Amino acid sequence: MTNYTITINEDKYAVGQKDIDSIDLIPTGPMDYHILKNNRAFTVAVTKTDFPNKTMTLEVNGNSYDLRIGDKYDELVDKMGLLQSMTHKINSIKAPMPGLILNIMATVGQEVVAGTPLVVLSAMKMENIITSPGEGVVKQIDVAINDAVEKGQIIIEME
Amino acid sequence: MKKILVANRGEIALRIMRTARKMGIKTVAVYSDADRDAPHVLFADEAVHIGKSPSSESYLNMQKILQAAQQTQADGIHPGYGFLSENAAFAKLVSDHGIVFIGPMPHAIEIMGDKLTAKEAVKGYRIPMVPGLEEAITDVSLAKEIAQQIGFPILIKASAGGGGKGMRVVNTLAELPNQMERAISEATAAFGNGSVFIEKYIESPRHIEIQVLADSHGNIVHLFERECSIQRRHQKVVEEAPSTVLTPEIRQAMGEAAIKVAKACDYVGAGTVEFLLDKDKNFYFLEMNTRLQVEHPVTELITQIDLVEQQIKIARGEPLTLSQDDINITGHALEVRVYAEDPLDNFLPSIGTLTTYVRPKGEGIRLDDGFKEGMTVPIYYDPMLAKLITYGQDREEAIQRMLEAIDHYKIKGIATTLPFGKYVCGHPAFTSGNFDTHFVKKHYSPERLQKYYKEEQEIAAAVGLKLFLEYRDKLKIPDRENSNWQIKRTIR
Amino acid sequence: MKEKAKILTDKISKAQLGGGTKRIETQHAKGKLTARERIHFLLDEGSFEELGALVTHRTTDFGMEKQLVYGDGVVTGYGTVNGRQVCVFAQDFTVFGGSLSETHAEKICKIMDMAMKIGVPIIGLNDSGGARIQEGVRSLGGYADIFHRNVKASGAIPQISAIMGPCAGGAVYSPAMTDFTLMVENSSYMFVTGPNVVKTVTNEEVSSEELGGAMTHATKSGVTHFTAVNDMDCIAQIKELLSFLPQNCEDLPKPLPYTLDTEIRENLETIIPENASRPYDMRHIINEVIDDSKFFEVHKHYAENIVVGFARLAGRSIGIVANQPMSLAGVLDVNSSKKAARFTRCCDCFNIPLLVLVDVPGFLPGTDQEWNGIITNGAKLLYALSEATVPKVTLITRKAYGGAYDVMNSKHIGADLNYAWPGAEIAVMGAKGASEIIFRKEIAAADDPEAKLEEKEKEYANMFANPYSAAERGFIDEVIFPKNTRRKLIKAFSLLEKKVVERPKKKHGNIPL
Repeated sequence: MTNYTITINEDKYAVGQKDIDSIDLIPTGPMDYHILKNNRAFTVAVTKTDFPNKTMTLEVNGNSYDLRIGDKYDELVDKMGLLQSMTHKINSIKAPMPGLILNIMATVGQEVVAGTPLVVLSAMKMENIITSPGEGVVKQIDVAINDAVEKGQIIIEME
Repeated sequence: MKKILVANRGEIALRIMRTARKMGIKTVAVYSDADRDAPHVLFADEAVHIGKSPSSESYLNMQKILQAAQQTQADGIHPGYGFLSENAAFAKLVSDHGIVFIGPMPHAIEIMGDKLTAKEAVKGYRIPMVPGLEEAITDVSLAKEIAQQIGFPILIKASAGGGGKGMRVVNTLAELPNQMERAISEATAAFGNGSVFIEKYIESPRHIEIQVLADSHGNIVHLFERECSIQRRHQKVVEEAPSTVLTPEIRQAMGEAAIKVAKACDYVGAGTVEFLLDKDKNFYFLEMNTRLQVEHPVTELITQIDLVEQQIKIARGEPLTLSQDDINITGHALEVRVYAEDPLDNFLPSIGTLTTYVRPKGEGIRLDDGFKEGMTVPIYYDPMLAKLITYGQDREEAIQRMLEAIDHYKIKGIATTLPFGKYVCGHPAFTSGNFDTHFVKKHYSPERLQKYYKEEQEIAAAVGLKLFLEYRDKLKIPDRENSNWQIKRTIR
Repeated sequence: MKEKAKILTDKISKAQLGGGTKRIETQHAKGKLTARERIHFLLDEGSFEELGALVTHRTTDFGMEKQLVYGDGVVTGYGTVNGRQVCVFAQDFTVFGGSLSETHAEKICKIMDMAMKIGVPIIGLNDSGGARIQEGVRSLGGYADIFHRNVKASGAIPQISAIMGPCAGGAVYSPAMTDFTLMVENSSYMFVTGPNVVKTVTNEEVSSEELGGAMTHATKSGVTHFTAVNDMDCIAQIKELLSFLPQNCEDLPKPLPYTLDTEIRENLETIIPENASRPYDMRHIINEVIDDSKFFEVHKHYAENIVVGFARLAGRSIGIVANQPMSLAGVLDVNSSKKAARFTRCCDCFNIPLLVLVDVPGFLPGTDQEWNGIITNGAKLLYALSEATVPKVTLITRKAYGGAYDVMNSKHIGADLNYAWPGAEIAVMGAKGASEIIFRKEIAAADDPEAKLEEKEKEYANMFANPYSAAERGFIDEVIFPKNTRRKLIKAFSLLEKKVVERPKKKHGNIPL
């Protein structure tokens, strides 16, 4: 039986038919289920599904989980490294959270190593130093002091 | 006093306005660009826009707030906590313009706002204190010298601060310069004053504070302690009252010490005297917070005294109607602060839109919050969303109610510290009462929290796959397109 | 009966394996996916229906009759991409190196015929060593059968070719005749004659990558429209490209839902530099004008002085042709004219409205240009824009000088609506050049010719270096504030949605190829 890898918050679960069979599931509504596992009760509500992209959001006992379903094909391309390089080849530093740029220590052309402080990002009054995750040369700084940045926004581009 | 302007935002602004309204006093809210739709603005009788979103251009702008008070003819200003609550200049500015500042006199703020003068003031009262430098500094080389004198670990903290901002523990000389720089920078950003204190860092301490109330007629009472040892990054996350470790004797000794501290600065209003309690139950005076504390509700629940009401009455010049003997502890109260932070990701701020926000309801549950479903958490302010407070006949009941309340408190769209609160309340170290301010370091890691969810995740994974396979196996054909496709065309 | 079922089961699993596990591993080791894996990711989960999985070749020469592999090196069938029906073929490098035999070609022709019968896009994933030499002329015939179908399908249904491995010799001409070509960097190459032949004939030493790799064709020859960093990137780009195209020439591209707001874009007010000779990136304007700044650029690295690509305006697919002041000041030259002409015709085939953004100082002068036929090639763009019957809207952002003004979708060649920004300069040439000619005598006679020229230049600029003399004649329908551009364009394309034009009866025009 084919196994699937289900990713929830970066945790991977190998799931197969056996696991599906081991749960006793009855629908209690169009999107709600009651589940017995080892005689213990769980309630599951389906809050969002995007089956074509193999993602969904389920609520178990009121706690919400985002699922990504991976099959052997997904595993293959992951292993072959065909997914990482899809977002541009340029190594960039992204904001780990939304906030305000308080200070920029990096300069264009600067050679950095892992841990080199690049910018200070203030979110909710806490200062967070964004450091370089690895070695590289700063190619471009895409923000200015006092800029508000979104989570995931590119702050610095590396060569 | 007929109209009060609340110079604050979020849950505390709402909480103050509720009491004011209860007392028949009109309320005025102030708000920044980011807060036009915030509940405190919607609740108030009047509201004045005071500037851009960054707090330095709005909630910290004294002139704008004063103007707002004058414009709306408010006769009192309540500063809440944070922002201008412990700003003597603001208190003075307000009083000078004939408006009542609901808080202590400027000089009391001044004395207690500076740890040095605070220590100086209480010197004559034989209050035990933590060894450390007697002056606030910004010089790194001096810091190095002092640190070596009193020995590592040391604690750097902002002289003007509170709430853990600009606070750093330094274990080695090597990391001192960098940490000091950050502490100064944070303190400058948060309080406009970058000077810091250096003191001996007490290991395995408990953080216990005493609530005091002083009127302008020289009467001072204390309202017992609050246990605030559960902290992360030196910020309180879970508080309770009473503390499980205080004997009636220590409680009395600390209460009396707190009253002395208040006396030392001619304190008027509601204030909090913070102590560290070491593992041998020696207590040391830390500082006095000359404002209403975030965690004041636990005291309100066990004493059944509305602290804001008391503040307003004192500000009106009324004498306290309570004597120390009237004040008793009944039951147990617990508070969990709900921060917009991800406990699974190093408590990093988690900002976004509250796509789901359902408040828990039930006996013994109090929720002080300032958000609604659909609101976006602004990046400019403190990450605290709400305070969830439960009350019980005893500690066990309070904890039990807290666990249930957390389960019924639904927040989606951002990560919050609610799961962490649940983790704490279920942890043996907490339930047994045997913990200190290092609880998080000792007992918490994201992995442990994660384990709580492991089983649910397994269920989710199995159900998710089942639904997906059902979808996959269903026959699907594309929608019939309404196209005039024709292949034939004859050309001569 | 069980017996018979088993026979089928065995055949199916054998066919699924293509050239066998070992060759699949080799393919993976090269960073390439197999034909079936590529189709898996291209099409919606479970939508693929394979046709002709059990086809084998018919060659008996050179012992080939002993080497029979189901499928014969190409996987063909149909399925859906985001719910849309498409036909697809993917060459299987694990089977005879993906080489093209008579039966292999037949399979491709069959699925192309199917696509034509039902009017849906055909997507070819190429990964083939070339003709199957053992088959000789039968293989060549197979290629030509495909070419002929490519031509018949051209302009009727979208044809997309992804080069995901080698593609050499005659094989290159099928992708060359499809609407779009994508190449995967480092694993694909295209050339008519390989490095070995080049060496023998011209003595040139050149690597496959240099001769016909993805970047070579993206920058130098323009043979490929897109480059992808790997197979998955390539597939993602095919899907995105497809989203802008209709099913066939009788169909319209599917709009995305879009909720209108004021659609005012203040940022547009500040993109053009104060100094008229300073360059700026036309893409900044494009990104402000279109939905979500999602510009799907075509031929990004080729002839960079013109920018072409797809975008959405209020959810509807549009094609954009824009001069790029950042490169060669945005002049028109041989390559940029060819690039823009081809893109224009592609949009016209598939009912994709055209937006032309103009900032052009003229044609590039010089012997190189003239001898390479800037006349004929510039005419291609003029012809293509003139000929297009889809809604055509023009916006002049800054310069529109000389003949290039006429070419860049002017009113006179059939643009439906022409807009200009207040800073636009629509004139025969720049003020300096014009004054030098018009006032030659006056300047020569002046005491201070320099000052006189300057004076005259100013005079001319005041008169003509603005959009108003064109607006007075109706060559410009409206001079608009930059911030309102998006609003105006959304309304303009909505107005033109049901546009019908008449054309004289003929077989086809004779574009100056």
